[in-house]
Amino acid sequence: MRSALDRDLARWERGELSLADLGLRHPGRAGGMIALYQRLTDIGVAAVPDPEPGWVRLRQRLPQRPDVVQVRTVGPAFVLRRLVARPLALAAALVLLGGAIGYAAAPKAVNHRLSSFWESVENMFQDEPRQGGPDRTPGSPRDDEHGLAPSVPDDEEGDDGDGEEGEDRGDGDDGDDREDGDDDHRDGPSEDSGEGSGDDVEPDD
Amino acid sequence: MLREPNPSTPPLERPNIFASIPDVRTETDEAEVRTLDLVQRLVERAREGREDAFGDLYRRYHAPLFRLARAHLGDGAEDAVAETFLRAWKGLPGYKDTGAPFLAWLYGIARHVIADEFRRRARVEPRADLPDGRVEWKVDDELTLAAAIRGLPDEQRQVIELKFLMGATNAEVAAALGKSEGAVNAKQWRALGALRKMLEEA
Repeated sequence: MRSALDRDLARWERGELSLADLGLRHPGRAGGMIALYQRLTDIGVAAVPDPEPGWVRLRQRLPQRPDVVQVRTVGPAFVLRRLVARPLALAAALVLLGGAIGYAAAPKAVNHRLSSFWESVENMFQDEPRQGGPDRTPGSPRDDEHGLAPSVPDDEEGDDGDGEEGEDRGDGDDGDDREDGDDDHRDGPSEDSGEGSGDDVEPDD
Repeated sequence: MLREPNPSTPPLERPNIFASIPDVRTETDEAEVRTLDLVQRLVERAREGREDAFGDLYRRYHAPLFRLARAHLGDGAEDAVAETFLRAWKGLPGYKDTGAPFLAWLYGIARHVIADEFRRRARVEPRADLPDGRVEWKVDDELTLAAAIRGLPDEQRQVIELKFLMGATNAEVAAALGKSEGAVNAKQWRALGALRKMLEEA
């Protein structure tokens, strides 16, 4: 709550009340306030030195500032990079990591199957001379038909009734005999169980 | 001798802190708005690193800051003003226009500069070597008054410093403090009452 003195002082400040009236209304109280008011007012209007020399001195002390900071425009490419590329890269890394861990942790049999699978895939795309033997030429009609290169020459094909692919590959590829043989050994029981098992069982019988 | 305020003019004949640019006058509200726009433009340019615009701000606000510093520090007011503007220059990139007068932002910096100077003086001049403070204050009434102002509650101190020492209008003080003009006026008279009491007791 404002006192009557405060209200009258505000009226005096606005010019709505004379000093004499103020003194009459608040004898002995208003005088000290007005004196202080005028003392402060005098401080506020006191002369000050010319600012120019001060500015000249200050200007030499101002540190250089770079121009306005350029705000980078965010375009669709930036958004795409942020929203798609990074999550994709992260997902790919996770898949690769998971695959590597899974491969390392999987049983040997599974790893062998995977190896043979990748090998068969690799064989599909290998060069013709390696697959078809020295007397076959690349791009022969048979290659085009089956997509897989035969591993034995045409003249031997009829002799081998079972057409076992692993065995044929071993015959055709001189350099990889031992390796292919191993693969056949691994693949035989699982892939060609019908034919392979028959051969294996015969000696026992 | 007590004086009547002049009813035909604003109650206080204060220095016009916007008067340093000759082509801008503040006699009407419209002109005042133009002046504020001009200050905003100067501030924007100064933020961009334009020293000439900052120089205009310096010339415009040198007097109120000098009076504030002189009231509190006596000697060394010019150095305090320079330090205030130096800090303002460094701080301008982070300045945000909140609607308060730019003077209020400078005032906030100046208060820190003055406080730092008091701390520095306290370190450099041990109290035992100082002359008797009471005698000194009686010699220099202005410093006595300034010491009493520093003893006021913070908002009352801000009202007195902004309005009387720096020449801000009631509207500017109200904008700076985020209060109504009526509230500012009430604080002003309460502060004057407290000051009078402190000075009588000193």
